[in-house]
Amino acid sequence: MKCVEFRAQLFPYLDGELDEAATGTAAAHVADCADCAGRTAFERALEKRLQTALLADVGALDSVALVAAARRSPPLDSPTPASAVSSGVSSSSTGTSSSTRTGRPGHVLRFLTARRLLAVAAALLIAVQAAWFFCIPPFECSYLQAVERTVDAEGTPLRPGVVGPPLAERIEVTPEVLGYRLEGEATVVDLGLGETANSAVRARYAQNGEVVHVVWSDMGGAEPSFRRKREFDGRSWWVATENGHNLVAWMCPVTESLCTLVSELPEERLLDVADKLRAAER
Amino acid sequence: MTNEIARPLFATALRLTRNRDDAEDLVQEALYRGFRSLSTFRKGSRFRAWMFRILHNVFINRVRRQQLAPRATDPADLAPSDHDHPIPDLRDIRELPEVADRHFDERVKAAVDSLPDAFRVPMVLFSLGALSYQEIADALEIPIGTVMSRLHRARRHLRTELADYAREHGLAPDPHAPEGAGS
Repeated sequence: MKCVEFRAQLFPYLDGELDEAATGTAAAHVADCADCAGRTAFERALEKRLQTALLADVGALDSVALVAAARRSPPLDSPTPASAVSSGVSSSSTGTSSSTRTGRPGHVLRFLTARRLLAVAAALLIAVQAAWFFCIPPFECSYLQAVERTVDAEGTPLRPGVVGPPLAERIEVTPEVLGYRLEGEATVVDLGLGETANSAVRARYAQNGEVVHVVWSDMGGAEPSFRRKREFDGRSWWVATENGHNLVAWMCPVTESLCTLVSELPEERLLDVADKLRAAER
Repeated sequence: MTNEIARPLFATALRLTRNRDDAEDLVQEALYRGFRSLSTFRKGSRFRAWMFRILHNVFINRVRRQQLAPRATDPADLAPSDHDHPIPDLRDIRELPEVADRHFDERVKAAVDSLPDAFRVPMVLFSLGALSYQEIADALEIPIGTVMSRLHRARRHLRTELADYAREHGLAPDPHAPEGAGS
């Protein structure tokens, strides 16, 4: 690959948007070309710095701010945009500053309505979480279909299709990842990452004789983004990536907070996880 | 809902609306609509991409309500090809400004805010929403090639602004110097 060809693919490469073959070719060029390696490192750092700049003014955002925003918001179902504007509520999205939201006519009524909406949303969320947790339709509990036999951390066989304690019941092992087919059994392992997200399933996949390992943990049916193949302990692992963090888990669609413990792992901690997974292999 | 998604969601809304109050409203409405339609979230799709798509739809609806919808023929698509306008190499900048450099942050945000919607929206969805090219294409209902092209031009614009910033602050001798030759 020539430098000019690499430069044309530099940003898709940095963005993780090239396919596996093109990524390999680009990586090989970076390894051989000091100038392109320098440009790549610079652009990666610059992109990160730009992202930091764009996030700089949202540091104070928290659930309190969201609730405050909700309380200030007009009911979604009542005032039309025109009436909202005429009553002093800005819905501008073009950069014009909105007018103040205090003291507008009927704000007490709207406040109560917004609170009711929040309560309904919270109740709905809890109901959905409960339905998901207890496998009430439309949520399915067909996880680990590809695993014929599994054991828990003590070696006790578990019923087919379900692995580990309640949280780990949501762990899903996909029969195929990026063209790699699941081989043999998946193995349950305690990652020692705390009370809420301590279980994972290690699965072995193969394609054309090449074996890779994938850690599935609390993914809850979300689609992971496998972007990098890493070498740990002489083995190839697929590591999902989001927001620059190395993940052995993926964000749960509803109970995201349960995944935080495993989603913030630094790379050296992943090595510990890899050790535990290797030890779990018989 | 944790800050893990609320924070980038709000940052994205902030760059879309360019206004904090409007951004809070936008996030609130997106979250509400997300919760309300959680039953339509399909297993196998990415929750994050789904939420950002809702956010964008709410944003577009608000823009349309103000009769500011993008024109059918977007002038952004008539610009010169990316190949003729590579993203400038800014390695002349001696050192990237510190993380806590407020002036730099403000300049970056101003540069993003100055972008036309056609470029700004894909950029914030990618940079802050961490959506893939395909997810952005789906959200905006444009071809993936157009997403790539617009990201390219947004990055080029940002770097041109940063080159000016570097020159003004003595961080680079000549921000418009030609790209260094490779092997």
